[in-house]
Amino acid sequence: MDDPLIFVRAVHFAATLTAAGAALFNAFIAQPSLRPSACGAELRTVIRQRLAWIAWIGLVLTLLSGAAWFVLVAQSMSDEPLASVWSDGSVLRAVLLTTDFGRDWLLRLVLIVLLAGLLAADLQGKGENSRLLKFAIVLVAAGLAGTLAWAGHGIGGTGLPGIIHLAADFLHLVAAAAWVGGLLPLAVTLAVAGRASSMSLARTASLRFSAYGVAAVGVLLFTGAINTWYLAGSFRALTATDYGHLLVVKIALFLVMLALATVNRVWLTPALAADTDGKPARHALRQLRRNVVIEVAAGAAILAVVAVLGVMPPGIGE
Amino acid sequence: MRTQVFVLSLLLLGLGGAGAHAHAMLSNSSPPVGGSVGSAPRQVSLSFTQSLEPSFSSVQVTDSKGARVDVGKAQVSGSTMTIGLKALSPGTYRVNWHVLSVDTHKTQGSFTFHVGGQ
Repeated sequence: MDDPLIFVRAVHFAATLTAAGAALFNAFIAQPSLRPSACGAELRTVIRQRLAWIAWIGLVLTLLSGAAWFVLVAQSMSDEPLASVWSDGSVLRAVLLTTDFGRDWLLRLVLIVLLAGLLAADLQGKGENSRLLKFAIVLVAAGLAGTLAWAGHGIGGTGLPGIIHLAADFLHLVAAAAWVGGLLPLAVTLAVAGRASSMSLARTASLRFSAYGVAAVGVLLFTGAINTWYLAGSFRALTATDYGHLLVVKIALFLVMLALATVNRVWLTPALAADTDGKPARHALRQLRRNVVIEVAAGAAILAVVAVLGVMPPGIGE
Repeated sequence: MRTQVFVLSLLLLGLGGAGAHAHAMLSNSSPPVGGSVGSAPRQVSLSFTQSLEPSFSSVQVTDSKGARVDVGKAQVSGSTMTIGLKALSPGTYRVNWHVLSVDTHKTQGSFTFHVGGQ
């Protein structure tokens, strides 16, 4: 049962963070950077289309992988084989309506549909979106990412520590959607800007993402520390348990991303911003784009690790 | 801001905190695991380390011959599960529990308790 579940979890994490990340990127980075005063209409259209594709494909994959995950978990909760769970339906109904996991999944289904509707409305508006619509999109996207917490180890604890752990997990997921989920939209935006030689757009997007990324990374570090405490509990658990080893791998991958992000923020983005349209700026942009692509790969690896971590008993129990 | 966040993380690491176990383990029971009680209990009450899903958690109590001595359906509230018992005569009884934690993991366990005199 575990291997299919791990695969489905990995896909679902990636899809959720991609969809939510694209929606958040659009609200905080793309739309402000693509205002008519700063950017030509053709460029704006191309980028909006590409970002919309990312969000929609992400949402469809979120829905499909979410459904698969639900069925696999429902089967593990009951004692019946997969075929009978699928054909019977009573187990699926019981899980969906009476368990915390099922109710969270129902909520996430609503959020998926809601986000799809809001994104469609935003696309129709052709860029002159209202603040209310933008606020709703941000809230629903953040909710779609954060509610993954109910499918992880953050749930089940009792009392105040239980609440803190769940809250930390929720925020960790939202920050991951913002940063890791924002890397693919950033790569696409920079690619389009680079090909169109629109250095000012590349500058604006990179500068905005820098500040955005710092806030998200700060939240990831803080909530990551809380989660590590609750799930590993000691340095011994990190070195002596399988769970601990994988957690160390996750942290190492995160540090790789952080190192690249630091290079981007401290050297490449300022280089891009300082120069007008000359060779140094183009060189900086090329390196920036390459780094972001490497970060996307590292981020995907982290999600694969998290998919495995979620089905293992946490180190603190051993 | 990054320095402040880092320092806060260190501080928080210093705070103690009940670790969340991935599975619901039995933390307490009445009658106690392996224990002896003088008079027959009216119910068995089990406390776990995590909150349970009522629809998928159950418990059976059997006597030394394997006959069921529990009555009614198990009552689940948060991380506690309770089941009523018939009038028990002195002897050894076995509790078999199967629970589903809200984190979707199943656990099970079994223990005995003794009723009466010695």
